[in-house]
Amino acid sequence: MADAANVAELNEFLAGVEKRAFRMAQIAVKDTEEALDIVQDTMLTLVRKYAEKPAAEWRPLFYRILKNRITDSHRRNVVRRKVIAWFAPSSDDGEPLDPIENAPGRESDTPDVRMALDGARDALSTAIGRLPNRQREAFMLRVWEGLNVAQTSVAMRCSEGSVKTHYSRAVHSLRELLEDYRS
Amino acid sequence: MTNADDDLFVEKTRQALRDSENELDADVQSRLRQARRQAVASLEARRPVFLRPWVLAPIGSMAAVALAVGLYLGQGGEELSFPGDEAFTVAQDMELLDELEFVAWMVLEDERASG
Repeated sequence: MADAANVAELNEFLAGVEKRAFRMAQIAVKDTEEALDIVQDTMLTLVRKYAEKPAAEWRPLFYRILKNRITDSHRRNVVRRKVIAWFAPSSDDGEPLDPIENAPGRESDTPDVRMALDGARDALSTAIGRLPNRQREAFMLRVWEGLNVAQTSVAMRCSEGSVKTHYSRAVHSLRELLEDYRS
Repeated sequence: MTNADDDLFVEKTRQALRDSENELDADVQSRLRQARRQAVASLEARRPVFLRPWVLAPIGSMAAVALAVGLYLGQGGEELSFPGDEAFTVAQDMELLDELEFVAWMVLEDERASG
C-alpha cells in the first residue's frame, strides 16, 4: 500500500533522474518526442510495478526499464524503415525514397541553429549515440548515472564481467571518436 | 593510453553530460514534470480512499473543530470524571457484601426453621 512518505520519496527520486533519463533516451533514439515518450513510459512502469520495492532498488530498476524502452524503440524503427522501403516510391536511380527522411526538417535542423549547436558536447552526444547499444548502455550507466558495476549489471541484465567489457570498449571507442576534441 | 588518461577522459565526459542536463529547454522540462506528476498520481490512485489527503484533511479538520467545541463547552463546568479502577473495585465489593449478607440471612433462617 502506498503511503504519503512513499509517494513523496518516489516523486523526489523521479525528479532526480528525469532530465538525465531524457538525455540518455534522446542520445539513443535521436528524437526528442520519442525520448519524452520513453521517459514517461519508464516512470509509469516503475511506479506501477516497483513502487513497493525498497527505494535503494529503484535506480537500477528504472534504468533497466529505460533500456528496454529504448530497445523497443529501436526495434520499431527498424520495422518502420523496412515497411517504408517496401512501399515507398523509388527515385530515378531505383533507390526507394524515404518520405520521413525527405520531409522538411524541424526548425532546429536549419543551418544557423545547427552551427550554433555544433561543438564538443554535441560531438560527444553523437559519438555516444554511435556506440553499439550494449556499450552505450554500459558507458551511460557507469559514467553518467554513476552506477557501480553490480547495479549496472542489474540494469543491463547481464554479468558484471560483461559490464566491464562493454564499458572498457566504449571508453576506447569514444576516445578514438573524440580525438579531435581532446584538449 | 594510460589509466590516468582514461580517468581524466571519463571525468571530462561525465561533466559534459551532466552539464547538458541543465540546458534542456523549458518546454522539455515542463513536459518531464508533467510526466512525473502523472506517474505519481497513478500511485496516489492506488491508495485506499480513506488514506488520500483530500479525504484525511476534512476529517482532521472536523475532529479539530469537535475538540475545540468540547474544550470550550467544558470550561468552567465540572471536571469530567471517569470510573477508575478504584471505584470499580468498590462496586464489586459492595455486591459481594450484599451476597454475603443474603447467604448469612439464609443460614440463620435455616437454623430457625430447624429449631
